[in-house]
Amino acid sequence: MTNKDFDALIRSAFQEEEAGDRELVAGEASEAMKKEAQAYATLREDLHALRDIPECQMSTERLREAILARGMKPKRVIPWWQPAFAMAACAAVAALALAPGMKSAGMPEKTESPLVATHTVAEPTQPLALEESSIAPMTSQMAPQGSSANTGAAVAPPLTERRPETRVRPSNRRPNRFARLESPARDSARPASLDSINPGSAAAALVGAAADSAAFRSEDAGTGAAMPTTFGAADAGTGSGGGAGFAMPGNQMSRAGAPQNKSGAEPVTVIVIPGGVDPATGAPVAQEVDKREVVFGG
Amino acid sequence: MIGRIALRLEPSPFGGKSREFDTTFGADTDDALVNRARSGDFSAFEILFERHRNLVYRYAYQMAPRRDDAEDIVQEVFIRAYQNLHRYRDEAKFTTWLLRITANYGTDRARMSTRRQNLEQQEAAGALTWMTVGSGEDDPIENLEQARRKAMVREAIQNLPENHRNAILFRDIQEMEYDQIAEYFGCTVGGAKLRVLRARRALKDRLMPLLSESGGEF
Repeated sequence: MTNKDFDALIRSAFQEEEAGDRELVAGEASEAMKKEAQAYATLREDLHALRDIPECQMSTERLREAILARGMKPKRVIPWWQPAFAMAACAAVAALALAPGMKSAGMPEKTESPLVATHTVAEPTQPLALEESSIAPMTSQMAPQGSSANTGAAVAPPLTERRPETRVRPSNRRPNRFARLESPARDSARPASLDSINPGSAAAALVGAAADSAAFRSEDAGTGAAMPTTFGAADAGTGSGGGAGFAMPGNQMSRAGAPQNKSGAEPVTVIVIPGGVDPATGAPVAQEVDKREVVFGG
Repeated sequence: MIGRIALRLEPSPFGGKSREFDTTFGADTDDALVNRARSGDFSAFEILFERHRNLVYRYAYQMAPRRDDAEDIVQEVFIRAYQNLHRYRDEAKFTTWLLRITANYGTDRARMSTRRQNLEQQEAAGALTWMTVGSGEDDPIENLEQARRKAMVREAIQNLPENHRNAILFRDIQEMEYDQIAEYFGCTVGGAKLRVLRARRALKDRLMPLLSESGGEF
């Protein structure tokens, strides 16, 4: 017996026959089928017997009293302080986020950290680049002291290795305002290890701190210059300066820490426009001169 | 004879056999009454109660086969309906909504007091049943046998999965039309017919062992 036959049999037993059911049932007139049909007919009678139930005697008055006694669902009463508290919390968060003193409050900690200068620095500008000569001798003197140690673990990691750590950031995330506050704890091991390697690190740390402060000043000013040689000195001496994060194109230094002045190797030229017009072309006259032959100033 | 003869209730409100249950005529449609009740007219809700209480009661009686308990269920269902009238959407029929409330309340009730319900079923299956529900015959032994069989069928229905149980109750006890059942289940009429067929097969499969254990036959 197929399911179709079985369904037809049930429909016939419950007197809900559809077209074709009678033929299907008649065609399968086996003994088992008759027994099944009888069982379903009995089931139908049993189910019909369940319809006999006592009468509902519940009155309208009873319902009304029950509703009056129960009442309507109490509305959720929101305490007055809940919205006020929420607004105050929002205001506090907004104030924290927009407070102008947040960055400046973290500044002293930046200067204390030897490796806080992890931000990008723009191309050096000329006025600060001129200070290289005043710093470079000091670092070159310090370089021999730390050179033996710097060949080992004291060498600051290549600048390009630190870049992703400090710069790569999902574009949809806000910059971490507190990264600079976290950096001293993260980098606290570095100065200690370097100090143990190089006894002259204290002086270099001062150089690093000076460089850091200069870097922050220059960064804030939008120039961000003069750091290459400074950080070259820090790396050459002790590595405790903040130069690791300063990825300067002109900061060419060896792994051993010996500074290489790029400006000495290949002179930088400067375009000078003295004024006047080229008679041949009619364009303003421009002249390319060595940078060292130019005195900058206002 | 002690007791009371059971009364057949009015025909199904879905069968269209009774004018009392005609819910679609004139301004006193269910939706119109619901709107009046929403606006604070309690008499409109009373009309709804008078109109549909037997529908809910018959369904409730199959869940709790004692009149008092069934009436308590009816009362609770209508209180919930009144308290939640603002949630009623006109897409479904008011009766379908009421049956849903009844089914949900029955499920909650069964969950909360399974032990109590078992005791009630035992009581309903016991000697007290024949005093309240009888066949009209004067033979008490036959009455007792019928009551026992009813209790067995009721127990088998209660043990069915919810969708099968509701399909049996709506079609074979409440005598609802297939389109109403389809509306309740949210399926097509053909789907409702199929559900009823499957439910009947499941019920028979459950009932046969019970009857054979008790010496009855199918």
